[in-house]
Amino acid sequence: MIARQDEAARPRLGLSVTRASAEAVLVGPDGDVRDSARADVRGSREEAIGEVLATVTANNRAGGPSMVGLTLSPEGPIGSGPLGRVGVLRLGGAISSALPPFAGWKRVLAERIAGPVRIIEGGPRHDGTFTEVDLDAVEDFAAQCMGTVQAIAVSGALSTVAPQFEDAAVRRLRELFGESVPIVMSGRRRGSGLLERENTAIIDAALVRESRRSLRSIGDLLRTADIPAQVFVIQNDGSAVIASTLEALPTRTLESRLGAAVRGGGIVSGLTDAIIVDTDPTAGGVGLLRDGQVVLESVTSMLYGARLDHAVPFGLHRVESDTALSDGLRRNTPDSLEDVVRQLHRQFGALDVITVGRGVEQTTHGSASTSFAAAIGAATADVAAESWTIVQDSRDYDDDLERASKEAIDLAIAAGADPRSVRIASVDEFPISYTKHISTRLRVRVSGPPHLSDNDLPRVTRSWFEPSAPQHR
Amino acid sequence: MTMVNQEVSEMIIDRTSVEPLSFGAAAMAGGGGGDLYQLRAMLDDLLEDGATAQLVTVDEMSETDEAAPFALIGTPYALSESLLNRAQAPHVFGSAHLRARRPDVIMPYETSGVNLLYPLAVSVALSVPILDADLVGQGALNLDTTILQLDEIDPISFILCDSYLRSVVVTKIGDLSIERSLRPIVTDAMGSIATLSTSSLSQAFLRAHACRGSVSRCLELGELLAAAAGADAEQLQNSLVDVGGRLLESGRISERIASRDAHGARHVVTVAPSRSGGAGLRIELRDKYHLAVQSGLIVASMPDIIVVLSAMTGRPLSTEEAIPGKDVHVIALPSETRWISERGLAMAGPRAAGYNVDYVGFRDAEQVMDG
Repeated sequence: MIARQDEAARPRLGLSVTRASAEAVLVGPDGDVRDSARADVRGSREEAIGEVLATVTANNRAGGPSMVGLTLSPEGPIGSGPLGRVGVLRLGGAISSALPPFAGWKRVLAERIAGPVRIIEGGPRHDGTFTEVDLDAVEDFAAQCMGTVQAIAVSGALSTVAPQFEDAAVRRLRELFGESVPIVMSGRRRGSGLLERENTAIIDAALVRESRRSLRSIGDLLRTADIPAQVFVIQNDGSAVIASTLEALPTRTLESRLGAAVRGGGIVSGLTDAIIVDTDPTAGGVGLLRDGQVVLESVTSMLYGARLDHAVPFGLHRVESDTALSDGLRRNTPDSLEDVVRQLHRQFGALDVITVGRGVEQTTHGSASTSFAAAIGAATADVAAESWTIVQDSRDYDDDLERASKEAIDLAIAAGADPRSVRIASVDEFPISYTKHISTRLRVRVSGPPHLSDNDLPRVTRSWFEPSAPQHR
Repeated sequence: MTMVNQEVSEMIIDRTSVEPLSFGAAAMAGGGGGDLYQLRAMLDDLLEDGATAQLVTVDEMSETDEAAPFALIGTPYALSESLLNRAQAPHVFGSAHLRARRPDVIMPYETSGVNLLYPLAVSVALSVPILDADLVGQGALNLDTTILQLDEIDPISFILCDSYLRSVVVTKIGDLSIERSLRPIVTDAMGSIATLSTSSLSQAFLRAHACRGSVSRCLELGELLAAAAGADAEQLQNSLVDVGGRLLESGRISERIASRDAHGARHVVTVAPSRSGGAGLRIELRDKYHLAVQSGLIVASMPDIIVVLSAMTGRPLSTEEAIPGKDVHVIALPSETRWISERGLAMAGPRAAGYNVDYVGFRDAEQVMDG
C-alpha cells in the first residue's frame, strides 16, 4: 500500500498512451520529475500501461500521486479503427434538408459509421414559434435502429438555445432502448453550428463504447497498481477534464497527445514560443507554442471532411497519417517533420525547435525530461472550460459577460477544477457580420488546477447522455 | 439548353475544382461572403460520384437562352443553423409561379464567397450549366452595387424564397434601393437567410451588361492562392504579380475596435508587422475590408479587393475571422475595371461606405510610396 501524505506534497502522475508506447512520469509539486518509465506496446496497450505503472509505483512507495493526467490516443486510425455504427436523428425538418447528416464527409468514414439517418420535424422556427417533435417519427427511426446500431446521435437546429426538443426525442428513445444503446446529444456546446455539433455527436457516438472501455480498463490498471487518484483526461488543447465527463466526448481527446506534448515541451524547455516536434510515430507531430499557449487552428477542426465543434492543435498530426486530419497544414504539405518545421520557420520566423518524445534523451541536447514531455504536459495540465454567448451593440455587455463567465466557471468546476482557484483565462470576441447591430459572439475560457481533495471531489451533475432539463412547454 | 450553332463548352468544374474555387471565392469576397463550409460540404457531396458542372460563356448561350442569377441574401451566420431546404433552389429556378419558363443557365449574382458556391451547387443539382459571368465582377458592397445599378438597367423582378418555400416577388419601378427594399424582408420575415434571384436574363442582356469571365478568374486566383499556402512574404508577393496583386503587409493582428455610425457597424483592425522595418497596417472594415492604411497613407481602398490571408493556412479570412492573435498576410487585388470610373467609384468607392476619403488605387499608392 502506498503511504498517504499531505495533498500539496504529493506528486502528479502523467500518463501518455499511444499505439506505440505507454509513458509515465511522476512530477512533484515544484515541477521536479521524480520518476519516469516507458514501455513499448508489443501485445496489448494494457500490458504496456501496467508495466509503466508498476515501475513508477515500485520506485515511489513513499507518496502516491494526487491525480493522474492521461493522454489517450485512439487504438487505431479513425479511418480503420474500432468504430460503432451510429443511427442519426436530426430535428429540423425540410428546412435543413439541403445538407443532410454526413454532408461533406469522406465516404471512407461515413460508410463505416452511418446507420439509419432521419430528419424529422420538431424544434424552434426562426419566427419564434416552434414545431412539436414528431414522436411517431422518432419511434419509426428507433425501429430502424433496433439491433443495427451501436449508438445513436441526436441533433437539432438551434438546440443550444432550445435544448428541450432534443431532450424530448432522447427521452422517447431512452424509453425504447433503455440503457442498451448510448445516445449522444448535439445541443450542448454553444459557439458552433448545427453541422459541427451533429458531426461531433456522430463521431463521439461511434467512439463512445471504445472510449468507455479504454477508460475503464485504465481505471482497473490504476486500481491494480494501487493508485486511487482521480483521473483527468487531457483534451486536444492540452487542458484536463475529469475522466467521467469526457468519456462520452472522445473526439476531444483524439489529439490530446500533441496538445500535451506542446505544453510539456514548453515546460521542459522553459520557452514560451517554440516549435515542438513530438517523435511518437503514431500520435506525435509538430505543434506551435506561442505566449505559453498551445496554438489551436481556430474554433473548429476537420476530420475526414467533417467539421467538428472544437479545435485541435495547429500543426502536423500523426494520428491520421493517411489523411488530412487538420485544415491547418494543407494536404499538399510535405509530411516529413523536417519539411514541416522548415515551413513553420518560413511562416513564423526563427522560433526554437524543441524535439520531444522517444529517443530524444540520446541526442546532444536531449534529456529524460524532454523525452517525457507529453506525460509531463499531462501531469501538469490545468482544467479548462468555456462558455459562449452573443452580445449586440455592447448593450448589457457586462451582464452577458458575467453570465457567460459564471457558466464557464460552473462547467470548469463540474469538469474537476478546484472551485477556489478557477479563474478567467481569456475572453475572445468573434464578430458577426451582415447584421444591423454590432453583433459579437463572446467566448469565455476559464481554467484552474484540478481539485485534488479526496473527500469532496466535485460531482459531475451534467450528463452528456441524458436530457439536461425537463421539457418546457 | 439549346446551344444553337455553338460548340459545347469543354470547361467543366469537378471535385478537384472545389478547393481552389473556395479559395478564389473567399478572396474575391474581400472579407465578406460568409463561411464556406456548408456550401463546400454540399458541393463535395454533389460532385462525389464524378458529377460535374459545365461552365459556359455568354457567347456559348443561344439567342433564346435565359439565365437565372442566384445568390443567398441575409446574415451568413444564419446558415450555421438553417441549412436550407433541398427544394428551395429548384423552386426558385423552375417554379411556374415565379417564371414564365424554366431558365437554361444559372449564374452567380456575385462571384464571392457562398454566392459563388451556392449557384455552382445548384448547377450540379439541377444539371444545368453555370455561366462564366456575374453581375458584379467580384463581391458586391450591397445589392445596390451591381452592374444593374451601374448600367441603370433593371430586371423585371427580384425573387426571394426562404427555407419554408415562402416567396416574395418584387418589381422595382423608379429609383428605389434594392438593398433597402429586400434585405428587411429577409431579416424580419425570412429567418435572416433566403435565396435571391431575378427574372430570367436574356443572352442579349448579358452580352451588354454581365461581367464576363468572373468564375474562371476566380478559379485562377484560387489556384494561385492555394499553391501559395505556406509561402513566406517574398514568395507570396512574387505569386501575386501574375494576378496584378500586391502584398501590403505581413504580421499579427494586434487589435480590433468596433464602433457604430450612420452606415452601421464599423471595425478597425491593426496588423503589427512581423518583418523588421515593416510599418504595420490599419484595416477599416464593415462586412468587407474597405481601406488599408499604412503610416497615415491609404495604400489600398475599395472597390479594389483587400484580402487578409491566414499565415498559417494561406486561406482568405473573413472579416469575422480577423481577430487579435491571428498571423496574417494582407494583400490587394484589382477591382473589376468597370468600377474604376467616376460613376462606379461614386457607387462602390470609399465614400459609398461612409468613409470621408477618395479612392486610392493600390498600384497608385505603390508609386506614391516608392516615389
